[in-house]
Amino acid sequence: MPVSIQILIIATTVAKKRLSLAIEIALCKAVFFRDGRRMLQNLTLTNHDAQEDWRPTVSTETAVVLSNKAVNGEYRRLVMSCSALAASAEPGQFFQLLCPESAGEKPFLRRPMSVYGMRKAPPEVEFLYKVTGAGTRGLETLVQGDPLDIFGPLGVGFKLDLSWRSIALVGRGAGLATLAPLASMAAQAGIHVTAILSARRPDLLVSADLFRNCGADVVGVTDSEATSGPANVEKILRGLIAGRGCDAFFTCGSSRLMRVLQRLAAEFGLVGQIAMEQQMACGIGLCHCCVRDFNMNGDIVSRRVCWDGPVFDLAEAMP
Amino acid sequence: MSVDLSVTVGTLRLRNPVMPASGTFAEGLDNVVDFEKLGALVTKTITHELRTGNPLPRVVEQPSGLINSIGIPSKGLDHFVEHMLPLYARYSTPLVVSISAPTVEGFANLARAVSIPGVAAIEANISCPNIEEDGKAFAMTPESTERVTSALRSSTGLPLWVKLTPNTGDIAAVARSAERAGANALVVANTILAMAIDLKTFRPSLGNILGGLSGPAVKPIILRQVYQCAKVVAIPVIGCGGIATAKDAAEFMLAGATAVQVGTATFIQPDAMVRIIDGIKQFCLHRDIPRASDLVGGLVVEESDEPDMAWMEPAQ
Repeated sequence: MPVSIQILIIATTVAKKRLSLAIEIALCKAVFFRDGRRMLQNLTLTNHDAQEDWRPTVSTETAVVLSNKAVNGEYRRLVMSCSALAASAEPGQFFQLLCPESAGEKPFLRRPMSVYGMRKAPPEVEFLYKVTGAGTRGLETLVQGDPLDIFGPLGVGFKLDLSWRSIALVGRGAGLATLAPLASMAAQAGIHVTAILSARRPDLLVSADLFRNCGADVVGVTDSEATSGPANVEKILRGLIAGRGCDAFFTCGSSRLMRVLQRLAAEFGLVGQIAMEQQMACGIGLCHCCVRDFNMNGDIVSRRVCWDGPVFDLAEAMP
Repeated sequence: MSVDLSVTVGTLRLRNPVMPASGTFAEGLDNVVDFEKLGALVTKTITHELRTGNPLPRVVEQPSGLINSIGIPSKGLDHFVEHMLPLYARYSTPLVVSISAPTVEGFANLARAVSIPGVAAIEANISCPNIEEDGKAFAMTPESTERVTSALRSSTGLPLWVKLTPNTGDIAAVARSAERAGANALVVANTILAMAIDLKTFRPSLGNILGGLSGPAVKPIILRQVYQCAKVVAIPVIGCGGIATAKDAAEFMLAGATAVQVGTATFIQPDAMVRIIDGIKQFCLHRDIPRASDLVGGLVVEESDEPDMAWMEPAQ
């Protein structure tokens, strides 16, 4: 029974002396292993030195615009200089952007936007967006050197299993932006990527080059060429599974494509992940406005897209 | 000069007057805010049973504000006691549990059930506009407020905070009835019943049709209600409505609030509460005010102003 050790810890807390953190942890563990959990909790409650070590794990900061340019007729690419914490974003995670005012419009809430790219040195984060409302009209006004208040990285991103050898990324519209950084993460992990990119027209397949540069096989399917229907996408995926093989599906941006993937995943016993969208307010699990229903082993469960996702198990997702 | 930020709400001593408003706070906020810096922690309203909440969309933004009809999704009492309470036990900051129920008996039973170690006070949300049809709530009338507050009082020994609604004609009368029935503090107030219409579809912007307006848009109205309530009760008033800056908080304290709750502002600036705490300290330093509590009720009113307010009193 390490009575002397307990007294030592309490005495140093009261005296507000700063023991090295390593020693404190070692002492707490000694008490924990001999006297059980309750004793550790009691000590933790009185040990305010430990709480002084709180650090934010999500950044709320003013980032600086490096560039903000149109990449085609619809989409714009916004590159920001940011903190290392913000640049630690993983594919599938998102930021809440405090969009600037544009002519006569002041968006009140932040706007969620998934990360399109990130770099560690110098720390940068980038977004791909289409101008559709008050928030994105404000983003459009940004020029190099402008400040932008960003909050992130937020939510649960994509996860890769290093034992996989081949994965399929299937995205449509803005979903292509969400999947793009995953292609680069997979390339670094030595996992082959087949990207099936869907859009209304060939010129709107914005990230095709980015996927190709990561070594992905890119298949573009479009409405204008009548190749984007579920039947054709299913045919392409069956070809992939029968040929090179496929270990997992990743998707974003289309509930029609989601249903195709869910059906094939069930048929071939494959796992999958889906990034989902929903209107948000807080972005960090406080307000419960972005809930969606999920099928979890037969139970319909309401989950927060911002906090429990936005990346979810493909099999549990519902349109 | 150093500034003493601490305030006393009934028997509860808070390290500073700033805490979250119920429904805008959850454990995830600790990624951005050090909970040890806050005056208190206030949970999202819990109910005894499971509630799924209202149909989507649940929020719509307005100029300088937000209308919500979340509808109190709750995983129920057992989930709170087993999973949420232990999460908050690691913080020294007092935990205030917000509760709601559809009946007087339901309120009393739930208050009894959460009167357990780890809970520092109970906030009775008798004013949510989203839980009853057409925004009806106990806090709409002095009579129903007194009934539910009396039942709550006899069911718990914990400090009892009663959260009032701004959607009533005579909030001062409701405040007096809550005090008379044994409330230890009043939270003034909840959201203002509101609606918005989508002009593309002619449909209501919210799945529930009606919702509650919050944010800077409501601040002047709630500030007025804090003033009206603080004037007629001896128990502390906690201001809650559109507070986004330290200046807003100082206004509420001058109007009579002992402490303030920050809600919608957290959605815009996730660390708003910490900024407000630092800002109150700076404000006091700048004005040579040694204690934040010196601000409470510090409004300077000429006596001749009083008759000008008479038109707001109900006719006898």
